[in-house]
Amino acid sequence: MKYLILLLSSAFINNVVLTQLLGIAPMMTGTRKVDSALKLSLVVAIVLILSTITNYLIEEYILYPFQIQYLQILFFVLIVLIIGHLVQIVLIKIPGLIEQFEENFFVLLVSNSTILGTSLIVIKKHVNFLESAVIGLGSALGYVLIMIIFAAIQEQLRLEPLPKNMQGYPILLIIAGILAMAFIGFK
Amino acid sequence: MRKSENFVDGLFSNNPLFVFVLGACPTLAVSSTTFGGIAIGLCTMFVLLFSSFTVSLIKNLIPYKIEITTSLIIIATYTAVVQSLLYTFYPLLYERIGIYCPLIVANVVILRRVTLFSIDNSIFASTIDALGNGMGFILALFLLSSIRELLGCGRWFDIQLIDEDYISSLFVLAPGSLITLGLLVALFKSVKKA
Repeated sequence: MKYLILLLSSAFINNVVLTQLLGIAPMMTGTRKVDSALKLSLVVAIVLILSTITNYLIEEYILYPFQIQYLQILFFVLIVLIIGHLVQIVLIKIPGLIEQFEENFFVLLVSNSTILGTSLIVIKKHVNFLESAVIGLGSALGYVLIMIIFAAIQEQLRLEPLPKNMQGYPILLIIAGILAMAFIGFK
Repeated sequence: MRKSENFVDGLFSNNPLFVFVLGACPTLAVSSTTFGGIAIGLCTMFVLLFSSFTVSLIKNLIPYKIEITTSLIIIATYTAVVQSLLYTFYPLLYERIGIYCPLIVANVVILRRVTLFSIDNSIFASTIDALGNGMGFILALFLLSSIRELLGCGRWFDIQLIDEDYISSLFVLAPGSLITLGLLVALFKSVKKA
């Protein structure tokens, strides 16, 4: 029960994208079709869960015992790079999936602040191993949810007439703001 | 392109935050106060300046295939430096910025300037470019955080200007930051065209 509450709270109440404001950039520049948004965000979610768990273990068994926490972010970046690369090696076996990704998609996962941010939040909360995995899973669910909602809204948005200065990023940011207002309602 | 044009380019006509909405993730959350906004802007500029310098210094040693990876590790190193400096000299500010200080590494502005410009330009040119982009970023954050602090808390640089009855706490929270940035980007578009 405790874990279910933790899962739901990290997916909805403390949603990484809209309440913590991590990962706004991939949301803005992301894809405009629901099915490819689902594929892309699922890959991000896999890397997010794996790197949250690994970073937790790194912090607990390497950084803290040796008192080298000032190297934290360097370690985390390396871990995300390595996990991104490993996920790429596995996914390349599935035909027709990897072609639609950009060339440097897996390297650029580091610049998706959802992944690094979740690791940092987990460590700041001083939780145990299982709780960190649950928070990682919840954040991943929240991320996938937001990306799909946003892609669906963008599909509709193409049909709407808009003032010229509002087209593109401005209207997307305002829509994200209104979505964020809805997520505040969960509190 | 001349060096001065390079500087103005990053400062205004290709302002990283207003034109490309880059680096929004680590900055929006901190920009609820003007001090916080300027602080994170300065930290970002520090990292941008030094990583641009370093990358253009060693650009001939980096193999083409791992350009982005190498740049990321250099950026992460400087972020760790900033984090340690803040922790030692400004612990109160460090507490305020919290997890968003290490997240400077995930700021796409830095990665973009380093991998698009510094990697094939001279040291001097990339330093000027980094200065221009950093100043543009700080300027954008200053505007954004001023509006948010004024409308959300009625304060500006911690000086009370608007009465408590007329403020809306929405601007301090996440939705306010997104809507303010959206309107600012639209405003910037129309100013640029005029």
